[in-house]
Amino acid sequence: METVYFLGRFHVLILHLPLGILFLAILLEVVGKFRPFLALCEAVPLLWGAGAISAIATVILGIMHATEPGFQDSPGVELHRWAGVALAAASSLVAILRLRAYLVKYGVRVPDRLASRGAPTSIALVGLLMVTTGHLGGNLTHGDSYLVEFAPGPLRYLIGIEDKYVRPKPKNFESADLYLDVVEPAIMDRCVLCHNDSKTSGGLSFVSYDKLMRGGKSGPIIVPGAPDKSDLVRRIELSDRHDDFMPKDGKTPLTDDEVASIRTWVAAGARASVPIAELKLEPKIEEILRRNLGFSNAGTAGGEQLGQSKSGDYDNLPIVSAAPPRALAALEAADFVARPIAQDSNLLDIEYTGIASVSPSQLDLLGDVAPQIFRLNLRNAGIDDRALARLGSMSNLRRLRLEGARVSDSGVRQLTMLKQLRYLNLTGTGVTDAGLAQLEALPNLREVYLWGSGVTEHGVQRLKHRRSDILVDRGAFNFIQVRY
Amino acid sequence: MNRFSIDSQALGNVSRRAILCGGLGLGAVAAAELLAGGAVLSATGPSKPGPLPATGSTADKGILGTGHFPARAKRVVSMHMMGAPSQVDTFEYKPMLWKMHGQEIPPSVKGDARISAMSNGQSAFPIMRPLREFRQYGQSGRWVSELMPYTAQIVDDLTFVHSLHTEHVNHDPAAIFLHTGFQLPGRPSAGAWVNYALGTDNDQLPSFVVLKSQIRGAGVAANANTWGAGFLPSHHQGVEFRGGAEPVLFVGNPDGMSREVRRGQLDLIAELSRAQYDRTGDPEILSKVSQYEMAYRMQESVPEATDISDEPDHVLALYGEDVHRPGSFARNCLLARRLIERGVKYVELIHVGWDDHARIAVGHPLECRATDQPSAALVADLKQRGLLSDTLVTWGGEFGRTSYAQGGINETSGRDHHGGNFTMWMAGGGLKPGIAYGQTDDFSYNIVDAPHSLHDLHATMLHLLGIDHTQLTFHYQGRDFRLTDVAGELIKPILA
Repeated sequence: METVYFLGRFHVLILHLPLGILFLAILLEVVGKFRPFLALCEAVPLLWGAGAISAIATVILGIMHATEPGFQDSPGVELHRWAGVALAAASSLVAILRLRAYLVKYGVRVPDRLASRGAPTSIALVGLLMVTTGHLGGNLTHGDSYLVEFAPGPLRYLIGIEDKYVRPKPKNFESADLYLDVVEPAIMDRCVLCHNDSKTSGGLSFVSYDKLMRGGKSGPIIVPGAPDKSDLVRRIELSDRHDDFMPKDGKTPLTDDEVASIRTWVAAGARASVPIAELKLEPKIEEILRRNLGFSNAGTAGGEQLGQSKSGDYDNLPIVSAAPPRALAALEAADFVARPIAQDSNLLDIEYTGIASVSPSQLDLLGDVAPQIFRLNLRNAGIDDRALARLGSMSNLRRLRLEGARVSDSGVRQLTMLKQLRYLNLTGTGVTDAGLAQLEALPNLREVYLWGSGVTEHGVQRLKHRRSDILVDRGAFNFIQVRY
Repeated sequence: MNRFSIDSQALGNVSRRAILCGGLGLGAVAAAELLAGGAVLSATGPSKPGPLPATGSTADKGILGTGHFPARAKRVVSMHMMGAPSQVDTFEYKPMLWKMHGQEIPPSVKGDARISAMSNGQSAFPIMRPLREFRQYGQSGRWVSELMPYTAQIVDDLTFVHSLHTEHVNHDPAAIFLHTGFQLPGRPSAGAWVNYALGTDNDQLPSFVVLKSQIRGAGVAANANTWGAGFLPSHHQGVEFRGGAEPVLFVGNPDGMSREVRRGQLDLIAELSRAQYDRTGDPEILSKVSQYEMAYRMQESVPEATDISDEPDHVLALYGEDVHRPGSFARNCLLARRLIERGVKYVELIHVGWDDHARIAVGHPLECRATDQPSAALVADLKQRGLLSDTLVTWGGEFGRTSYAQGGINETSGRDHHGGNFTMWMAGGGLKPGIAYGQTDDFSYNIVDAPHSLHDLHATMLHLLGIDHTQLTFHYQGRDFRLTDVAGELIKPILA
């Protein structure tokens, strides 16, 4: 079976031969009537012979190609097949008529009158069939609106197709529609090539919402509200090495953002119109949709974080220039371990590994790379209020460990300069409720740990009340004792 | 430095005849050894002869230096319950097992997969109900057995995966597979891979530490391959801390030897080793020297890290009574927390017991009691110190146990090994807390939804550490190896 598929693929290659040769044959037939080109008539019989043979070969390969599963249900295939067969037959007829001089040698006699009368009709038929077969074949591959998709207005009117309706881009994120502005364009772009009315792989056509929801040979591919049960979602989320992965055959896959958007759409009920304003979106999904629609919040501090999102630490990573190599080397020599947070980032993750308290000169070294610092561990580094002041220039710092630091509430005020801070560890410090309250000013703060500090439950509740998006952990966890 | 410098004395002892006529056996090997300086026989790989480690903070940052993308977790605590806990008696609630207690497991469920030789001789496979009742806990409403009352109190921080499976039904191959991605010994353990990839955050302490404990009469033993370095340079292996009062023997200097004298001694050893390395190029020399240097640093760091006298009483109470007994799992959990605080990147806690082929009604409660409170305490303690946010904690065995009884239903009943599905819990950086992922059938015998191999677990673990598991490889025996072998897909639904 696979051999047939393999040979069948060559139909698409070989078909260009009869198209070219028969066209040339017809051209020479016409042109050869005029005196300057009389000599070209000599070539005509050969062209017809070659054209007929190549047409027959194309038909044979085409029949093989049509055995592929994707073509079984397409209505367009039948018509194309019969037109092709007719073309092969007609071109063979013309070839016989034109080659009759040579066929006499084999005992085939074609009457002259038949030849002269029949030839022009047959030639015209061949021309007509070429256009028909070729156009139908093109539709199978590219869809039937391919040629006229970008036709200008007046021409569209003449041909009689409706104006291509281009949905205007949404003005802002809230007025966008999840299906019409995100999902439908993605499906039209990547899927309709093989799933349209002419070529219905799997019996599926995606050219309209109704057809998309109707499904195909194996039933509906979308179960509204249940993305995990929807075959469409399943297939696009598979690894691209998997046999069932869609799109097949090396066609450009949907982007991760598009996949996530489709899943969200199915989960929200898979309706034909889903205004985004009506949806309750998780921050990550919202970010993805914003990106898709071009309304991304990149750069604005905080944005619209809904509730706790600890993975938000790594969203919208700032791009910074590289830290000076000498500064990094100096850090390494001074009991710090500094690494980039990832291979392609200049942001730094710095740990203090010294046993003694960090000295002012060591803090100076940190200051040299302040804009690059993303994560900093100063656990038991003997940090006091004065040292905290030196941290203020770390504008990109997101995670800070200060366990055991000798800081008080006035030192904490210095921390409020760290606008990007998301995680703060103040366990074992002298911070009290007053200091804790100041942390309210940190717009991006998500987690703060206060075990073993001077903070009371009152202070914790107060901060939680004013900033419900911050996880405030006072520690002092105790189990309910269990008697065995 | 010249890796290919040849010792002319040695070469003089090899005649042309020996090389040419010695055949393609020993003669060629000898020639290779001499000409390529021994490098041919040692593991190939991106081993660059670097400077010998000095005493300053020249922390080895691993071959990658940092992850391929930002890490959610910087440290790992892996709690390996060697011997294999029974999932239906701990974390997987299957009401059907009470309903069908004593009845034969339906053939449609049991199928015709091979059963381990320890129970395939049985004439009957009666379902045995779980040892204790299950109740729901936390906001997530997780069902947990009464055998695990302390873990039950932290379920909202845990991510359960019920659909792990393994092909291996005996302890050693399964445990080696769980740790190295292959069932035969010889490959590096996960901890060694992490150590190789990311090095250390605190060069004062070993970066991969192993703490073992066990129930008396455990019947199974921990396998050193589960923390070995395989074909990686041997300094990546886990450092075993002993269970007794002295976690590291002889870490102090003997009487009469001061730290300065020790330093001088190590400097001389380093010089001699450098000379030897220049001659032979054997990377194991570097490993050995680096371990000497590590031991030197450990002289100061280990006593401080393992001395628990500065722990407040309420913290000790969190881990339970056993914490006062050196060598117990509780004590090891406390030590693990201290090591994590001090920047150790990978701590493996191995508790051997669990292998209750018989008398599971006696055995499992003992093992649960030894491990339940300390494991939960470790998670809670890390959380209250703000460390759970970027530490990955895992808990589980090398396979599961059968829901049918081994040895009939009586006082000596047990459960046999079952690789078809088993349960692990995880917690920490980058995971979605309070969820249970993966479904098995009503008899906890077959996976119904989202099966995941241990390769997937490894891929996910490396992902949380910021590493693309397909990009962390080591060239050995002519091809590239990796922890996930040739498999491994991320378990995306459990990632935050």
